[in-house]
Amino acid sequence: MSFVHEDPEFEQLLAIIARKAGISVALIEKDYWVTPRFCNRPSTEGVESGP
Amino acid sequence: MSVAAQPEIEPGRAYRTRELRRWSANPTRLAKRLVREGKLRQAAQGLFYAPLESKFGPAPPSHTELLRAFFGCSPFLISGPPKWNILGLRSTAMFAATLVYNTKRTAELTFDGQRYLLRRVRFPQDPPPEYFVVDLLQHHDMAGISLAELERGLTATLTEGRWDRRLLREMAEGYGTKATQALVERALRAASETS
Repeated sequence: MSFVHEDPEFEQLLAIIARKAGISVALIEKDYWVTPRFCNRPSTEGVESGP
Repeated sequence: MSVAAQPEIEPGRAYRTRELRRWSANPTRLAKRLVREGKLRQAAQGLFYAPLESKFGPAPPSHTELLRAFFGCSPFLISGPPKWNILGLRSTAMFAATLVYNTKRTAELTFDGQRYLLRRVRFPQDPPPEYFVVDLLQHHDMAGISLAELERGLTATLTEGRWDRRLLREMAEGYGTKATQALVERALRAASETS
Protein backbone atom coordinates (compact mmCIF):
# COMPACT_ATOMS: atom_id res chain seq x y z
CA MET A 1 0.00 0.00 0.00
CA SER A 2 1.37 3.42 -0.84
CA PHE A 3 0.66 6.65 0.96
CA VAL A 4 0.21 10.10 -0.48
CA HIS A 5 3.12 11.40 1.63
CA GLU A 6 5.37 9.04 -0.33
CA ASP A 7 4.51 10.92 -3.51
CA PRO A 8 7.36 13.20 -4.67
CA GLU A 9 4.78 15.95 -5.20
CA PHE A 10 3.31 15.70 -1.69
CA GLU A 11 4.67 19.17 -0.83
CA GLN A 12 2.83 20.66 -3.79
CA LEU A 13 -0.38 18.92 -2.71
CA LEU A 14 -0.07 20.43 0.79
CA ALA A 15 0.56 23.89 -0.71
CA ILE A 16 -2.51 23.61 -2.97
CA ILE A 17 -4.77 22.56 -0.09
CA ALA A 18 -3.38 25.28 2.18
CA ARG A 19 -4.01 27.92 -0.47
CA LYS A 20 -7.58 26.72 -1.12
CA ALA A 21 -8.44 26.40 2.58
CA GLY A 22 -6.65 29.59 3.64
CA ILE A 23 -4.86 27.58 6.34
CA SER A 24 -1.13 27.42 6.94
CA VAL A 25 0.76 24.62 5.16
CA ALA A 26 2.26 23.58 8.51
CA LEU A 27 -1.20 23.06 10.04
CA ILE A 28 -2.41 21.10 7.01
CA GLU A 29 0.64 18.84 7.24
CA LYS A 30 0.26 18.37 10.99
CA ASP A 31 -3.39 17.46 10.46
CA TYR A 32 -2.34 14.91 7.83
CA TRP A 33 0.03 13.19 10.22
CA VAL A 34 -2.16 13.39 13.34
CA THR A 35 -5.46 12.22 11.81
CA PRO A 36 -4.43 8.62 10.94
CA ARG A 37 -3.03 8.16 14.44
CA PHE A 38 -6.46 8.88 15.89
CA CYS A 39 -8.30 6.97 13.18
CA ASN A 40 -6.27 3.83 13.90
CA ARG A 41 -7.04 3.88 17.61
CA PRO A 42 -9.97 2.10 19.20
CA SER A 43 -12.61 4.76 19.72
CA THR A 44 -12.85 4.23 23.49
CA GLU A 45 -9.13 4.41 24.18
CA GLY A 46 -8.27 7.20 26.59
CA VAL A 47 -11.92 8.13 27.14
CA GLU A 48 -12.98 8.34 30.78
CA SER A 49 -16.27 6.66 31.55
CA GLY A 50 -19.00 9.01 32.72
CA PRO A 51 -20.53 9.14 36.22
CA MET B 1 0.67 45.50 -35.28
CA SER B 2 2.96 45.11 -32.25
CA VAL B 3 3.42 41.71 -30.64
CA ALA B 4 2.86 41.52 -26.86
CA ALA B 5 5.97 40.61 -24.85
CA GLN B 6 6.17 36.90 -24.02
CA PRO B 7 8.51 36.75 -21.03
CA GLU B 8 10.18 33.50 -20.05
CA ILE B 9 8.39 32.99 -16.77
CA GLU B 10 9.94 30.24 -14.67
CA PRO B 11 7.42 27.89 -12.95
CA GLY B 12 7.76 27.96 -9.17
CA ARG B 13 9.49 31.34 -9.18
CA ALA B 14 8.16 34.48 -7.48
CA TYR B 15 8.54 37.95 -9.00
CA ARG B 16 8.27 41.53 -7.80
CA THR B 17 6.60 43.82 -10.33
CA ARG B 18 9.90 45.64 -10.86
CA GLU B 19 11.56 42.37 -11.96
CA LEU B 20 9.23 42.35 -14.97
CA ARG B 21 10.88 45.55 -16.24
CA ARG B 22 13.36 43.49 -18.21
CA TRP B 23 10.48 42.49 -20.51
CA SER B 24 8.36 45.63 -20.55
CA ALA B 25 8.54 49.36 -19.96
CA ASN B 26 5.21 49.00 -18.15
CA PRO B 27 5.70 46.07 -15.73
CA THR B 28 2.39 46.67 -13.95
CA ARG B 29 0.47 46.25 -17.19
CA LEU B 30 2.55 43.19 -18.12
CA ALA B 31 1.85 41.62 -14.70
CA LYS B 32 -1.90 42.20 -15.13
CA ARG B 33 -1.80 40.59 -18.56
CA LEU B 34 0.16 37.57 -17.33
CA VAL B 35 -2.30 37.11 -14.46
CA ARG B 36 -5.18 37.29 -16.96
CA GLU B 37 -3.47 34.67 -19.12
CA GLY B 38 -2.97 32.41 -16.07
CA LYS B 39 0.83 32.52 -16.32
CA LEU B 40 1.20 34.42 -13.05
CA ARG B 41 -0.81 34.57 -9.85
CA GLN B 42 -0.85 37.58 -7.57
CA ALA B 43 0.35 36.77 -4.04
CA ALA B 44 0.15 40.35 -2.73
CA GLN B 45 0.44 43.94 -3.95
CA GLY B 46 3.44 43.92 -6.29
CA LEU B 47 4.27 40.26 -5.64
CA PHE B 48 3.51 37.50 -8.14
CA TYR B 49 4.45 33.91 -8.78
CA ALA B 50 4.36 31.40 -11.60
CA PRO B 51 2.55 28.27 -10.36
CA LEU B 52 4.40 24.97 -10.43
CA GLU B 53 2.67 22.31 -12.49
CA SER B 54 1.99 19.18 -10.48
CA LYS B 55 -0.23 16.13 -10.86
CA PHE B 56 -2.51 17.70 -8.23
CA GLY B 57 -2.86 20.97 -10.19
CA PRO B 58 -1.02 24.29 -10.23
CA ALA B 59 0.85 24.72 -6.93
CA PRO B 60 2.21 27.83 -5.23
CA PRO B 61 5.96 28.10 -4.64
CA SER B 62 7.60 27.52 -1.25
CA HIS B 63 7.53 30.13 1.52
CA THR B 64 11.26 30.61 0.96
CA GLU B 65 10.79 31.48 -2.71
CA LEU B 66 8.00 34.02 -2.00
CA LEU B 67 10.08 35.60 0.76
CA ARG B 68 13.18 35.69 -1.46
CA ALA B 69 11.28 37.75 -4.01
CA PHE B 70 9.68 39.92 -1.33
CA PHE B 71 12.93 40.77 0.46
CA GLY B 72 15.10 40.98 -2.66
CA CYS B 73 18.76 41.05 -1.61
CA SER B 74 17.91 41.62 2.04
CA PRO B 75 18.54 38.61 4.33
CA PHE B 76 15.73 36.76 6.12
CA LEU B 77 15.35 33.66 8.25
CA ILE B 78 12.31 31.41 8.73
CA SER B 79 12.00 30.44 12.37
CA GLY B 80 9.14 29.25 14.58
CA PRO B 81 7.74 25.74 15.14
CA PRO B 82 9.22 24.11 12.01
CA LYS B 83 12.68 24.89 13.43
CA TRP B 84 11.84 24.54 17.12
CA ASN B 85 9.93 21.25 17.05
CA ILE B 86 12.75 19.29 15.43
CA LEU B 87 15.15 20.18 18.26
CA GLY B 88 13.74 17.41 20.45
CA LEU B 89 13.10 19.76 23.37
CA ARG B 90 9.44 18.65 23.60
CA SER B 91 7.78 21.62 21.88
CA THR B 92 5.01 20.48 19.52
CA ALA B 93 2.75 23.49 18.89
CA MET B 94 2.30 24.83 15.36
CA PHE B 95 1.37 28.38 14.31
CA ALA B 96 -1.17 29.52 11.79
CA ALA B 97 1.52 31.88 10.48
CA THR B 98 5.14 31.66 9.38
CA LEU B 99 7.60 33.52 11.60
CA VAL B 100 10.20 35.38 9.56
CA TYR B 101 13.14 37.33 10.95
CA ASN B 102 14.44 40.03 8.68
CA THR B 103 16.33 43.30 8.63
CA LYS B 104 13.62 45.47 7.06
CA ARG B 105 10.34 45.50 8.94
CA THR B 106 8.04 44.18 11.64
CA ALA B 107 4.57 43.47 10.30
CA GLU B 108 1.90 40.85 9.79
CA LEU B 109 1.35 40.23 6.08
CA THR B 110 -0.66 37.82 3.96
CA PHE B 111 0.83 36.42 0.76
CA ASP B 112 -1.41 34.19 -1.32
CA GLY B 113 -3.71 33.53 1.65
CA GLN B 114 -0.83 32.50 3.94
CA ARG B 115 0.01 34.62 7.01
CA TYR B 116 3.55 35.76 7.74
CA LEU B 117 4.75 37.35 10.96
CA LEU B 118 7.70 39.49 10.02
CA ARG B 119 10.02 40.50 12.84
CA ARG B 120 12.87 42.98 12.39
CA VAL B 121 15.47 41.48 14.71
CA ARG B 122 19.14 40.49 14.71
CA PHE B 123 19.84 36.94 13.58
CA PRO B 124 22.88 35.03 12.32
CA GLN B 125 23.34 34.64 8.57
CA ASP B 126 23.97 30.91 8.75
CA PRO B 127 22.35 29.82 12.01
CA PRO B 128 23.48 26.60 13.71
CA PRO B 129 20.83 24.48 15.53
CA GLU B 130 22.09 26.02 18.80
CA TYR B 131 20.70 29.36 17.60
CA PHE B 132 17.20 27.85 17.37
CA VAL B 133 17.58 26.41 20.89
CA VAL B 134 18.16 29.96 22.16
CA ASP B 135 15.36 31.25 19.93
CA LEU B 136 12.94 28.69 21.37
CA LEU B 137 13.93 29.65 24.92
CA GLN B 138 13.24 33.29 24.01
CA HIS B 139 9.83 32.42 22.55
CA HIS B 140 8.73 29.61 24.88
CA ASP B 141 5.38 31.32 25.46
CA MET B 142 4.65 31.40 21.72
CA ALA B 143 5.69 27.74 21.50
CA GLY B 144 3.36 26.86 24.39
CA ILE B 145 6.01 25.24 26.57
CA SER B 146 7.28 26.24 29.99
CA LEU B 147 10.85 27.34 30.63
CA ALA B 148 11.15 24.67 33.33
CA GLU B 149 10.33 21.93 30.83
CA LEU B 150 12.70 23.39 28.25
CA GLU B 151 15.47 23.57 30.84
CA ARG B 152 14.96 19.89 31.71
CA GLY B 153 15.00 18.98 28.00
CA LEU B 154 18.08 21.10 27.33
CA THR B 155 19.99 19.55 30.25
CA ALA B 156 19.04 16.04 29.13
CA THR B 157 20.06 16.65 25.50
CA LEU B 158 23.31 18.35 26.59
CA THR B 159 24.10 15.26 28.66
CA GLU B 160 23.57 13.16 25.54
CA GLY B 161 26.10 15.40 23.78
CA ARG B 162 23.51 16.74 21.34
CA TRP B 163 24.68 20.39 21.27
CA ASP B 164 27.98 22.14 20.75
CA ARG B 165 28.42 23.73 24.19
CA ARG B 166 30.67 26.55 22.97
CA LEU B 167 28.23 27.46 20.18
CA LEU B 168 25.26 27.27 22.54
CA ARG B 169 26.93 29.70 24.94
CA GLU B 170 27.91 31.95 22.01
CA MET B 171 24.34 32.01 20.65
CA ALA B 172 22.90 32.73 24.11
CA GLU B 173 25.33 35.61 24.58
CA GLY B 174 24.68 36.99 21.09
CA TYR B 175 20.91 36.57 20.84
CA GLY B 176 19.51 35.77 24.28
CA THR B 177 18.38 37.93 27.16
CA LYS B 178 20.14 37.78 30.53
CA ALA B 179 17.48 35.33 31.72
CA THR B 180 18.09 33.04 28.72
CA GLN B 181 21.86 33.22 29.25
CA ALA B 182 21.37 32.28 32.91
CA LEU B 183 19.16 29.32 31.95
CA VAL B 184 21.71 28.08 29.40
CA GLU B 185 24.50 28.38 31.99
CA ARG B 186 22.43 26.40 34.53
CA ALA B 187 21.75 23.67 31.96
CA LEU B 188 25.44 23.54 30.96
CA ARG B 189 26.47 23.25 34.62
CA ALA B 190 23.87 20.57 35.38
CA ALA B 191 24.87 18.57 32.28
CA SER B 192 28.57 18.78 33.24
CA GLU B 193 27.78 17.47 36.71
CA THR B 194 25.83 14.47 35.45
CA SER B 195 28.13 13.54 32.54
